Amino acid sequence: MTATHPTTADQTLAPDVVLGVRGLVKRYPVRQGSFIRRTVGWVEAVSGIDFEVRRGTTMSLVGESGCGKSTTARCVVGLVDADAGSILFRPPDGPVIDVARADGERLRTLRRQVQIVFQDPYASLNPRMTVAQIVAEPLVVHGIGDRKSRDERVRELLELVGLAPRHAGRRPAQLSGGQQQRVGIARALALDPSLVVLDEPVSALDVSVQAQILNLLSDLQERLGLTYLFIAHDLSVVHHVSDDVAVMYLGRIVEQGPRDTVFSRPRHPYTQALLSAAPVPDPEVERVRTRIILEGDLPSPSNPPSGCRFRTRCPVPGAEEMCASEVPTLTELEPGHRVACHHPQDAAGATFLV
Amino acid sequence: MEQPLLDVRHLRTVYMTDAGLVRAVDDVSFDLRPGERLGVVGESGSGKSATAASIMGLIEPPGAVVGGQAWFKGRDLLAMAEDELSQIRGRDIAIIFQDPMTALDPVFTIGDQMVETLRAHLDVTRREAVEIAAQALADVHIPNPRRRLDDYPHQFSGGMRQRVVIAMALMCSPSLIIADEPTTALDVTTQAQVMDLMLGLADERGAAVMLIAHDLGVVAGFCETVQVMYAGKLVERSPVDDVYRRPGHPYTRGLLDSVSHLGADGDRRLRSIPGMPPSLLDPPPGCRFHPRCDYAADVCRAIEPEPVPVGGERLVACHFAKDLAATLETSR
Repeated sequence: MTATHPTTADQTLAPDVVLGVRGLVKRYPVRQGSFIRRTVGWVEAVSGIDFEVRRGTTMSLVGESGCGKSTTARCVVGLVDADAGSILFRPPDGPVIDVARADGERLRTLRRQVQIVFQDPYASLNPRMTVAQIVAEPLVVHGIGDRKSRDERVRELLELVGLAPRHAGRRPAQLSGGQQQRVGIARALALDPSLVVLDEPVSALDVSVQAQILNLLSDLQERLGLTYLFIAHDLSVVHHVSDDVAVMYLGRIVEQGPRDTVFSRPRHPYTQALLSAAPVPDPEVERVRTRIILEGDLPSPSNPPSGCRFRTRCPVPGAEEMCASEVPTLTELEPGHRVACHHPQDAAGATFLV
Repeated sequence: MEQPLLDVRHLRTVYMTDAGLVRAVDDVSFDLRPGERLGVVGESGSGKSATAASIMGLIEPPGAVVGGQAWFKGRDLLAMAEDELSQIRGRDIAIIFQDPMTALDPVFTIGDQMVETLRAHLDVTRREAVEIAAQALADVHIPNPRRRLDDYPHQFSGGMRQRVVIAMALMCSPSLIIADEPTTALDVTTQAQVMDLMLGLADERGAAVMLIAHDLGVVAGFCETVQVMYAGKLVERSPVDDVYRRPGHPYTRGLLDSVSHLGADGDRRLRSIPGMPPSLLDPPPGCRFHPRCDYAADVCRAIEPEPVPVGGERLVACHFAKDLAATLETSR
């Protein structure tokens, strides 16, 4: 069911690469029965993906529900274990760490250096704790500093994310959605990480607040030299924050490359459909652009189509035998721009956007 | 002049909470022509959903409609008894919510639910109702519609479920469809599919649509008129091109500037609106937007602005609407 992935992955990273994901596979069992839970099948949420994130840049994984982007995020921060492939992380000082095999000191380094911000700020904050306790918790867990220095650090962090000292004593329920997300960001930054995974950090927020948080994230990146792995379904947000983009569909990357290349010259029919369907707040643009409407529904990830997983909904006429029998591999069509399609589409003259 | 299909006057809806009275909709007036596509935008707490729920008689305690009228084909919906209203709801006015499961009962098949609705509103036999239901499912591109009538809601995917809800909403040929964030829970490619279907069918039948959305992009693509709400108030109502090209209200402008959009320069810094929407328990005096507004002056802090015409079909509730119209136009 899966293409073969090399088990002895290349353990090296180019010097400017902070995160290297190679052949990542994650499966979840499908269980049935209420008393004896038998495993009746497997859902492959991520089916062998490769990407790299360069230091100080933002790499976005974009796709619709079920594409595997959030599972990838969880593997990277070690919340779930990958089934195959490797995740390599380069700390600011010291050798490259393989996330799957890290233990002892290396695991502690990872836990400090790689942080995550979740989509739902309220659900990810303990409602019984005050803002100061939440932000200080990583410091306490890692045994960093004494009480006084931790208080000082909390003050610093709150200021960094645009919260006032008076917010320190409040509980999450007393804050607005935007303020809660600022707390989530402050907590993620407490240990001075170098890589922050942002899992849909603004999709639960109102648009005027989204802008505040996106601006904050970009300021923090610049000030602290952070590297971001950004997970989102909203293409306009991804367009705004990213340096590089990888588009996922049913567990695989179908297209990746520098942001402007992917957004202005998409070559995979799925990327094209996705871009064409994204609403643009401009009535004139909306009137003239071509919308590619995909027919049908997303296939079940427990029984994905053979060959190219997009072929059952692909609008390109004459999807052939090859699409059903051969898995298309990511192929470089121009420097840095890779597409996994047997029939990459011409992007010239298309009006997906403007 | 054409008689409006729906004419809402001075609507007021409140919620009684432990902390006090929340004025969710505060003196809102607007109308809708037959066949018009109106988009209502605003952030959470702006009163856009409460406005729709008030019109439909769906405000439940601790909430209550405490003032105003909603004239629909010459009758005031707000003055109607529940049994009268329930005859109109689902027949002449259809409502579609964000979560399709609010409209579907998980323990009955889709077919049973559709047939029941049809027979409650139309004078048809069971056999005829099954015919209409199957056709309605076919209209929203559900494969094997006749067989799918025997399926339960959970046997459909999210996008399909919303299509089923649309089929149910449209099968009695309503003259008004109120859709409250109908595609918010769906993926973008599914969203495009569902919106196209819904509006295509509405057009075919000449139904007016009131589309409530937080996404300015969805409204730009599908509506003729846009109404912007803020903190329980209507702040602007204009033809769609005017709203996006020359927003009349500083809030509308702020909202547009704060969205990242695909056509724009990705490296541009977003202009966010400072602060956050006010508490409706204790809204600021005067214009409710004044604490966040760049143009606020003394008059804004003292006197509440009424929506006034600012040229063409534009209505804007801002003391400086006329002055700003000129500057905003040049700046975009």
